Amino acid sequence: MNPARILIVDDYQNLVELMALRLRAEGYEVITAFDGMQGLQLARTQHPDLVILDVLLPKMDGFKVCRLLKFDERFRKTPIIMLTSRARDIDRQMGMDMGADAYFLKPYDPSILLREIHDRICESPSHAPVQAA
Amino acid sequence: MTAAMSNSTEFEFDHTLPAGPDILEDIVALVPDWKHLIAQLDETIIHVDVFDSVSALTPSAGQLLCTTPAVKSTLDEVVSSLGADFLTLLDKARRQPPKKVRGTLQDSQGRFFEVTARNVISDHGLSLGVFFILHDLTKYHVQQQKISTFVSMVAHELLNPMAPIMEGLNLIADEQMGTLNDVQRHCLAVVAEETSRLARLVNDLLDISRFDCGKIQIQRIPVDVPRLLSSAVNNVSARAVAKGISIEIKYHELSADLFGDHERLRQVIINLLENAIKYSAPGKQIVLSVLSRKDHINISVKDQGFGMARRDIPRLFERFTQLNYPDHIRNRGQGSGLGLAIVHEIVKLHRGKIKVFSELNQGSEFIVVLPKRRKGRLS
Repeated sequence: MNPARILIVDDYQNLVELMALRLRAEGYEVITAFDGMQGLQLARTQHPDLVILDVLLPKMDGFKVCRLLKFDERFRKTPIIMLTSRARDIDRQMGMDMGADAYFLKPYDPSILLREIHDRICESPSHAPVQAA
Repeated sequence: MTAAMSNSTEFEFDHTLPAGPDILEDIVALVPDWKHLIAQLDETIIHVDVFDSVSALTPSAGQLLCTTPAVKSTLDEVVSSLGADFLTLLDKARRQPPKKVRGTLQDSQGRFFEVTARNVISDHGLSLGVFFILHDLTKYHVQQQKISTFVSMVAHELLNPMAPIMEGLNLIADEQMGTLNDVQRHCLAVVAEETSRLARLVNDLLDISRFDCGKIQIQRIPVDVPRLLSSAVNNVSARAVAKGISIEIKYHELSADLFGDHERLRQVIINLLENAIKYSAPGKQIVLSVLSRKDHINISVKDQGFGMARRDIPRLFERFTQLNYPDHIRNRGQGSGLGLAIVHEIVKLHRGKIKVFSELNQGSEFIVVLPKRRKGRLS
């Protein structure tokens, strides 16, 4: 089975780089986007098994990306984890209303996020993570 | 409550002030032509008599209501200018003479006023009407909004770099980048702990700025008490275990009547538990309990810690308060100094109150008293 593919959409390059390093070390395939439009485009062409999505993004905000993906039958079941510093209750509610599967606040505990990613991907029928060598 | 822990302070948030000497009372009692005298004052004062007539206004109150003291205003006119909350304050003041009732009003032009209302009672026990003294806080309010927006922006800018810092630290600590020796591992653990503390401080600052702006809204829905308690305890269990402190949970079936905001109440309990852990010696016990009373629910966090001196208790809920503990107890570097201030704000939003029982070397108990839902409405 192919390794599960994760799309990270975040304009904070340093974070994307380290997160990708960590996820690749865990055996995942990682693709990255630095704005909302690029994220949406990559999701539609690369069909990731899970999306990690920031909210404040150039070109298109994360809420909109999330809504467009979740309203598309092809991606309805693709888990989307919002990862943001927007901590207001109303933002969290907005994320969940847009169809996000989980809402994580920055700075996050990387091990808890990793567990969430693992669990979400395990629930997916077609993919399972590959253990790091 | 044990007899030993009788040193108690209660914090209520019902916006009433104790009765005290009042120049208005003297004027009304001693000067027959008091309405004429009041009309000379610079303060913004409105008097509503027992028949709901607006019988006296100072010039600045007249300006506020777009009238002159000579022209009689009706209560309806006052309400249309100052909003329906004016009637709520009037009703509250009438129900609890001679207490001062305090509140805030926003007028039709968007100005903010802090209002003190008082039902003045004559020597014969008759009401002389309710006096409203208004202070225009619009400039202060706008300034507060600007400060809070600034704090919020700064806090977000501080939070953003922390995510890659934590991610990088964890990558190294998990030895994904190669094996570490004990000294390196220890150094990384210290850096990770301090980074978490910084993140917590920034998050607490953000919360406080939101409370100041009135941007925090709470839900009032049934709260799953067992889930609330266990989730809060899980959050602090690592810190308790590291100190050899046990946490016992007690609740009764009836405590299912708890209504409120799960996330915010969880934050209250976590902050109280962290406080209890911080000020307890290793090996002690903390009891977290929920009790249902007739009209309210009590959430209690009781510790066997160092306790507090009576003089320190009223300062507890102030921001960045450091009590005068010896250094080995205070353990600088833990907590943000905002935990109890946040507890205060959340309990206030739930229309609850906090009771504190404490005595030096006898431990402390913090009881959060939350009103139960009244029939037909959410209280």
